[in-house]
Amino acid sequence: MTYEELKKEMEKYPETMSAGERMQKYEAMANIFGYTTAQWRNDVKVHIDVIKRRQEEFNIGGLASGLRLRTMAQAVGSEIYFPEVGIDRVIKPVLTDYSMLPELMKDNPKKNPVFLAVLQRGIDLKMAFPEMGIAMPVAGPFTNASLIRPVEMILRDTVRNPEKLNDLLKWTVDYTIAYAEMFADEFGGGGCTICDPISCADILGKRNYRKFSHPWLEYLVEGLTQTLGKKPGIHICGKTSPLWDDMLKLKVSSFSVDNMENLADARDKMGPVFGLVGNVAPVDVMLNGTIDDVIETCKQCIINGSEAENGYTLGTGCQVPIGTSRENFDAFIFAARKYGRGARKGMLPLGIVEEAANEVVMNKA
Amino acid sequence: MATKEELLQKMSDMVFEMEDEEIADVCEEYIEAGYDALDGILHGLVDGMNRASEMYDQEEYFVTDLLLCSDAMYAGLDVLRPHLPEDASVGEAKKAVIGVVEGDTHDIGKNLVKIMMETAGFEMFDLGRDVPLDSFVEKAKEVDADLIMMSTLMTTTMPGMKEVINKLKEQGIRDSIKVMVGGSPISQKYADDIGADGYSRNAVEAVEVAKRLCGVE
Repeated sequence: MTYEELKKEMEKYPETMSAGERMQKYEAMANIFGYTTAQWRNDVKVHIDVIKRRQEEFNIGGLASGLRLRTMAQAVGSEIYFPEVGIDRVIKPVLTDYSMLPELMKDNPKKNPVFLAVLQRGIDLKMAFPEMGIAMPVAGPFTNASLIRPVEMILRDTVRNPEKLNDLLKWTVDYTIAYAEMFADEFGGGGCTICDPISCADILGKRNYRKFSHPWLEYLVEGLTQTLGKKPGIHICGKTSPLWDDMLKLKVSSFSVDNMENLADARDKMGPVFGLVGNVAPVDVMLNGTIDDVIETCKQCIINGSEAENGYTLGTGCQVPIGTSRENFDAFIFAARKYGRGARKGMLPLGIVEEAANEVVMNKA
Repeated sequence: MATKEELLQKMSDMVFEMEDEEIADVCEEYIEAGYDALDGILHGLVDGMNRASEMYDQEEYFVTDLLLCSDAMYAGLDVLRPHLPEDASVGEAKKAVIGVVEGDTHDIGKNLVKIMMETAGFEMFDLGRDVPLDSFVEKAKEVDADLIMMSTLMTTTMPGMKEVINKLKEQGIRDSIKVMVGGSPISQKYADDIGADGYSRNAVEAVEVAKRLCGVE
């Protein structure tokens, strides 16, 4: 299908979804609207324009003001590189020696300039879009720790320095919850998503997930739920199925499934407990795929995910990469409208059922 | 006094069990007893690392375990290496240039691949992270490499891999050097699309792919 054909097809399927069901991908969206990542990051007017155009052109709403993956690391002194276009990265983690930890722990998060700036951005956005809801992302404990202390040291700490590692992990959670309190004081609570890429089975493995990640995730979930008045959702990148038995004990509202995992397996195993989100491949499909690849993958995801007992939301398996085309965003939205039409919790949507019925009729004819 | 076999077994076990502190003493004991350093490396240290790889394949060991095993292996190598005779260089070993492509500094995966490749007997030239694309080509020419291995975690830096392949073509040396790519956003499909020779999902698998591409038994 060409982009022109897609646009004509889209007219047949009117908007029916709520704001919560849509992709909130700022960096990739900023890129589509002709802004660099740095412009979006540094200039609140650009940020506001991205949200405005996202609403006008894609009908996607919703605000976010929280701790992105590297925000806490930056707040406590890790050196971060912010490219003009692209995702920021840690250049020099601050905690190379545990003797520095007591000093770091003296920092008051509620007076930390990085946290205050993040909160201020949320205040500015909310002022510009008072009708939109505002949510806060946070990074998971093991991910935060790995951006504050070099990841290879952290991994060795699991055997050589477990007590110090636990001190660090607990501190990251307390610090994160302090931001949630700042957020709740300002906005009165809201939704939250925990993103924890380093906790995946590929890096940490099941044994260390159980020992060092899961207990602190439970502590974080409890703190966020109490502070924000809602259970958070969670996303762990990469392979997670070896962790699912443990993850089922987390009192979260939703689980966003990475594209490395099988969505149908997640539906059967995790669906009875959590709402599920996922898992269109961000790189092979959204960034590098054709319009038809995006549509077909979305359709398969809806088929595999929609019968999840606690509900299913079509989403990408991880962050949408910068450079993803407008055409592919539109294809995603088109597929969500076409195949997600008549969505019913725990059941295949009418969009899928009717197409299957039509195919049967066509074949008989 | 311990026999050679007993000491080799002990060295292998210490690597496998991540004992990076006492392994130096055992290696000293092995050398003082007059046993061959190369045998110590291959049948002691590397044997332990190979056992760790098998456990990784069976999902009993994880990245953390491989790192700690490699700490023990390198602690042992520090003792044994100086006792290798001068002509016991890697000789026929295949050479591979490895690095994280320009614009990216995430290197834990690359480091792990390097460790496993060294364990498997490849001579590795590590360019580190955030490596300018030309450096891959220059280094490969300088050392007459059999293989270039590139890694990235970022989608924004993935196209650099294709550029390196193009540079190899421009210089007329693409056919004489195999190219492998890896990293979280990379897939077999992406590797095929950019014309790389190989892709692997993890460090242990990378060695198997590298061996196949370089015709190593």
